[in-house]
Amino acid sequence: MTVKEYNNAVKEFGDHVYRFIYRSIKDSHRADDIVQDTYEKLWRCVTEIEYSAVRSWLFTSAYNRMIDVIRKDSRLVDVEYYDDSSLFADERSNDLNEVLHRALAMLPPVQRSVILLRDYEGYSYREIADIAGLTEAQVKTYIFRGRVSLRNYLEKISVWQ
Amino acid sequence: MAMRETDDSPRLTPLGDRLPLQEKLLRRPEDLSDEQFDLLAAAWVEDALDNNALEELDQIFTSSPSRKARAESFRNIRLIPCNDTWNGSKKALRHSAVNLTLRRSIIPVLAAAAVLVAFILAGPAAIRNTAGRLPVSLHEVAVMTELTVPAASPITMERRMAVSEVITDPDPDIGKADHQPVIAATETPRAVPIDLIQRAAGPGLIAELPARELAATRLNNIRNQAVQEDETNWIAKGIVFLAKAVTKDEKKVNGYSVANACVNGLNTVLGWDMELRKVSDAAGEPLSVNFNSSLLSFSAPVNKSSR
Repeated sequence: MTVKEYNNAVKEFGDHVYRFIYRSIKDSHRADDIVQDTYEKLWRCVTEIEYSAVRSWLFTSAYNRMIDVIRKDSRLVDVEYYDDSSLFADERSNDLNEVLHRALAMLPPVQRSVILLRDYEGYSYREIADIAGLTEAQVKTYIFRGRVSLRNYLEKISVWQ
Repeated sequence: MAMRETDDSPRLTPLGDRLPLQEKLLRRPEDLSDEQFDLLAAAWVEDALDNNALEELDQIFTSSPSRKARAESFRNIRLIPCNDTWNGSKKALRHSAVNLTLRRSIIPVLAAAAVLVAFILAGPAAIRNTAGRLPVSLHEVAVMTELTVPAASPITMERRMAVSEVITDPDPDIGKADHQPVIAATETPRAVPIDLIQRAAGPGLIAELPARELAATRLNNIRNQAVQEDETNWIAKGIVFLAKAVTKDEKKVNGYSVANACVNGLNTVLGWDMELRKVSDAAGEPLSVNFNSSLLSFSAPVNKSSR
């Protein structure tokens, strides 16, 4: 990959990777750091990566970095103790997408990530499996279970009866 | 007793151990729990079901329309990307070697040169301004006077006077229409027709100038030779000041040392190989300056006045 292609990768995929990480961990500073680290890592091995594979590489690398960060930070990994009181703060919101994004925060990190990759980036199950280091069956299970959880949440806050 | 073939063939499980009502354990699609159905519906909206599963789901939809509506609601569980933008993308961009050279070397050099030039140019101006600044000053404003001359008059006179030729009084009444400027003694007297003298009360200002725009011009505002020399010295002083700030050593700066520093700086920044050499006589007086590079070589004699 040339310097020009690297810069194209920054301009073209930077926002996508950031959005994926930010929506996964809900922390803009950490997301910024993770994406910066990811591009720094890409730059160090820029000559070894083909431009056609850079998008998948970026998401994989950013995902792994995010998992490392989550493991280091117990506040983010303990989803069982996640304070979801804020999720019900604005139950009257009619914006379904906004409510869904709030509900996304209560899902386990892996489910959250695979749903984001599926919905935001439109990746196939196979690609998501490669990025997240899972099997295709696991990816499907996480996505289906995640969607059921989201739907149950909407039902719970009376968006849907 | 011999075993008869009409009986059951030998089995691993005896006849008495078999489940008598096995069909009771069989399930129909409609027997799926809500949780199971939701998972199936989530897979359905993702188009991830095979033909057998789709067939079963059709049976459920046929038997229970409410479940079909529930399954359809999963189509709305889709996240739409928000407008989150990454602000750090500019920091992640990399530049080519040419760009880096430009950004790190040439641009700072040009900026420093611009600062130096501004420093040199602004210095004398600042000195002049601080030497005698008036609240209001009027520079190079020409006041034109016209006389109304009858058509029969053989002489048409038009007189122009510059402010520098006019001695004005900072009296606030200066703007009044009847104020008569005093012509400097250096002006050559001119002949004026008699009838013109008789008719006209005198040359008057066409437009009345506000008094606040008029002020006496001070003599020290006029640039003289001493100021110009001081300005020349100021350039040298500025260069000496900068050289001292960089090298922490006070050196005598002349034209050759400045040019030599420029050549060395360009060699360092751009990687060129230029040479500037001074040729002096036995007494140490510079005779000429030789410049050598791959593109250009010349030798310039040094004037005695510039030594």
